[in-house]
Amino acid sequence: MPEIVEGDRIRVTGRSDTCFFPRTERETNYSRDFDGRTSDGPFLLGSSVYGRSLRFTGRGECHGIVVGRGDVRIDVSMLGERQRFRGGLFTNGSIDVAVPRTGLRDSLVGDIKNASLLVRGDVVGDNIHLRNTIVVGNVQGSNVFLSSCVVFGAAVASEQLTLSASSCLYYHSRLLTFEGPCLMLQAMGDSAVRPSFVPLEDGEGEAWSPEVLYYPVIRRDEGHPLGNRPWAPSASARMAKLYPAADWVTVATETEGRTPDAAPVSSDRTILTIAGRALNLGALQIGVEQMAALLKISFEFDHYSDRGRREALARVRAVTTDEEYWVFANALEREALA
Amino acid sequence: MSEGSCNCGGQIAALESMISRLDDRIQVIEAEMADVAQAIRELGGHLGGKIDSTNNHLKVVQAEVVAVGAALLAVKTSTEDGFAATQRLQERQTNAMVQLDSVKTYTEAVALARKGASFGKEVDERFNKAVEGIVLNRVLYDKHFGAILQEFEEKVRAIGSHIYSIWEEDFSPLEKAARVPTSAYAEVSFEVDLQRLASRSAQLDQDLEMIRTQHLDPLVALDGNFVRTVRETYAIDGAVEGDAYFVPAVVVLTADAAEVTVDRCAVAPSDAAAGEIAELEPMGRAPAISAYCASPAARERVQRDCRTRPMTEAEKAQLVAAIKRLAERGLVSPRLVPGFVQYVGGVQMSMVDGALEGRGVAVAGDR
Repeated sequence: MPEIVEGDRIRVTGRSDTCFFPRTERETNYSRDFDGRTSDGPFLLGSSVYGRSLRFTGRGECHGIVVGRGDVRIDVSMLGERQRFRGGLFTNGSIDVAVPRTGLRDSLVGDIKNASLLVRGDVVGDNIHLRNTIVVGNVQGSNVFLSSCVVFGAAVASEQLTLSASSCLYYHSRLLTFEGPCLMLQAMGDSAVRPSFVPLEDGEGEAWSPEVLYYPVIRRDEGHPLGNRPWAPSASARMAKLYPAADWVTVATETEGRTPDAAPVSSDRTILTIAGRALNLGALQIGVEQMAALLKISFEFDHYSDRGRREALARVRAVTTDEEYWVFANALEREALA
Repeated sequence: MSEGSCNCGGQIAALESMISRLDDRIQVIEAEMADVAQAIRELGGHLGGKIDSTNNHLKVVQAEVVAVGAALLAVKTSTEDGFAATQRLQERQTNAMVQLDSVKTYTEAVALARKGASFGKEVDERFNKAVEGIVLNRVLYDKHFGAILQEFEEKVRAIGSHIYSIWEEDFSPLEKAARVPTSAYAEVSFEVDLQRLASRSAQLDQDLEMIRTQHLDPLVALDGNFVRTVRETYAIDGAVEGDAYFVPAVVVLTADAAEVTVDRCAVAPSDAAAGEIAELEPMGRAPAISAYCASPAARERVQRDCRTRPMTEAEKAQLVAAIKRLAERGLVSPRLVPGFVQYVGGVQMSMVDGALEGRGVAVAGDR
């Protein structure tokens, strides 16, 4: 695994099973580039990474946790490139993902296998901009922008959260914007103000109206897409639609103070809830329970033995849709699947 | 002091003897005076004229005696005063001696006590000094050892300062953020969902109860009323075994009469007596029109002779008129009449002919 020092940057290529941590004080000032576009092929990092101003370019994988000081930039802007992080991304700066400029149909919304980045674990930073990314974990930051993403977890933003043709399990933010066709894997979320619904213009200039669907309803349909595809609506799309007037309610909430002696803080929150409209919750229960089982297996997967892992994947296969299985199999297994 | 005491005692004794002698002398003088007075009186008795001078002489003598007595009393008084003064002086001297003795003893005792107290104080001071010395030594020890430890840590930190800075500036905030369970963000949504579901459930219970009391119960009562009314209205008079009869019913026939759907029909038992009310029973699909006939004979006749033909417009109008007449008589709910009319006008209705003379079974009208 060659490690080349170029000015104030250290470029890493090829395969390495060691962890990247500055061993001298001098090394803390270097930035690190992990380049998968060289003749050494994709970068393969078997352990964790810490560095200042990290950059991951081209194809590659990192099996450990990535902790950055400053910005983390992931460049998969060439067609066919994909990176996978199996330990999560953490930084005190910004996280930015560069992907090919395509339309919505050619992103993971059209086909989940078009995903450019797969992260198993949490993505935590300050300003986070994920594109064409699948996250099996939470995304947390001050300003979070998800574009053509699928988040099997919470999208949490202390300031602004923007879901642009994206899907998430639930959200928590102060300000929220839905851009284009979005999908809620669960009808849960809260924000300080009512969310905004704005149209989306994708990379090819095609405009998409804002629409939010509830995934467990369309999950029963053939195809089971993990994204909202307005060009090929599901048979249950009309039933799955969430309406701002009916499904987002503003309630007065009271939360505990920051210290034990502090008085409770009262505030208005806008909550996403289908409890006021959904009638046959029993029909949704199966889908919800299957997704819960899926998440549980994914969290416990590392603790299974080899035989246990095979059995777990078999259980996953039995309760998931094709796209769900593809996501979790790629997130859990060390070897990438097709 | 003893000599003074002896002198005072001697003087007192002398004075006492003098006083006693004076007392004796006074007594002697008083006795002599009494003798003189007696003698005088005797002389007075004998001497007449010399009594006054003698009396005067006696008076003078008496005055002198009195003066002597007064002088003796004064001496006695002064002697007594001197005695008392001497006694007081003696007492004072005795008290002074006692006081001096006691003061001396007290002073000695106080001195001894002071000596003991000063000794104890000195012991305390030395003990406190010893303790202070120990504390100072301990403080010095802590100070020096702390300085050594701090220097060690600073050296370690100096070697790995970049590691500490990474831990404090990068990892600690991320770890702190990761410790917040994300389920905490979903609590509000859960609570709102549960509250909405609970309120909807309560509202649903309330609505169902209202539907039951305002709609379902009246319908059930109407149904019961209908059954009772039809029974009373269509009671069988003079029924004879084997008679075939028809009652108002809604019958739906397929084109080839292969299936019959009958809403209600009346079937009299074969041994029905005159006046016995027919039992009404709902029937579903029957394999043939003949299945609902009252008796086997009628059934055979229906099977042999019944034919279906499309209902003419006149017959439809007649059926509608019959329905309206039933509504006027209160046998059919007026609210159902428009639905009947619409049904008759909208479906392909057929007449069943041939079973009996007169109308077929598809007509609801007068019997």
